[in-house]
Amino acid sequence: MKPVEKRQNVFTLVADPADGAADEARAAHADDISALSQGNLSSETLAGIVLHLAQRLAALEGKGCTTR
Amino acid sequence: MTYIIRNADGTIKTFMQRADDLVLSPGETIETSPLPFLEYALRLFLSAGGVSGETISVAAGAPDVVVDVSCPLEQAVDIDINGTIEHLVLDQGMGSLHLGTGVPGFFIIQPADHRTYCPAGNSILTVEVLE
Repeated sequence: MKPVEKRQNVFTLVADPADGAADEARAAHADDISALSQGNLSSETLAGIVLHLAQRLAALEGKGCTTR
Repeated sequence: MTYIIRNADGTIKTFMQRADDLVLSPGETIETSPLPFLEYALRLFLSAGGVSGETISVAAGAPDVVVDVSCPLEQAVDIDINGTIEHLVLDQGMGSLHLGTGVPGFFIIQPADHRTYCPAGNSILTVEVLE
């Protein structure tokens, strides 16, 4: 969740320098899914998918969703 | 009457019209409010363009999103916008927040005081600025 700043009574999201890293993580996850669809499921791939799901759950909980 | 379920830390987890067969988790407590369910739910009502309780998506660069805040019982209310607390002075229980769309991402607007207002349902609003 990006922080906000208030300018002239308007709240605006502040661009996060970590966005580039997040994009790289998403790209890596796309590679994982591709490997999975091809039946090439290594322990590293599985670990990557589990990590991605855990991050998604954390993001949902951050939005007020209950994942229990 | 409305049943209010609180987390162990005193924040409101949820509220409901009936509490039949309710099983509390460890540390949770239950109390009642004399307000009818709908009236309780409308103590803090966030909406944008008449939409409430769902994610609102807008394109980056679109006109500002105006979030309407209704809190009929109060003169002012503290609103949390992605962790920034805005003290919003209300006019006859109504106020508004303006969200810019210059940077893609999510705005999560919710009550700052989770002991008074439940951050769920119509009291939380997510606005997504699409890339």
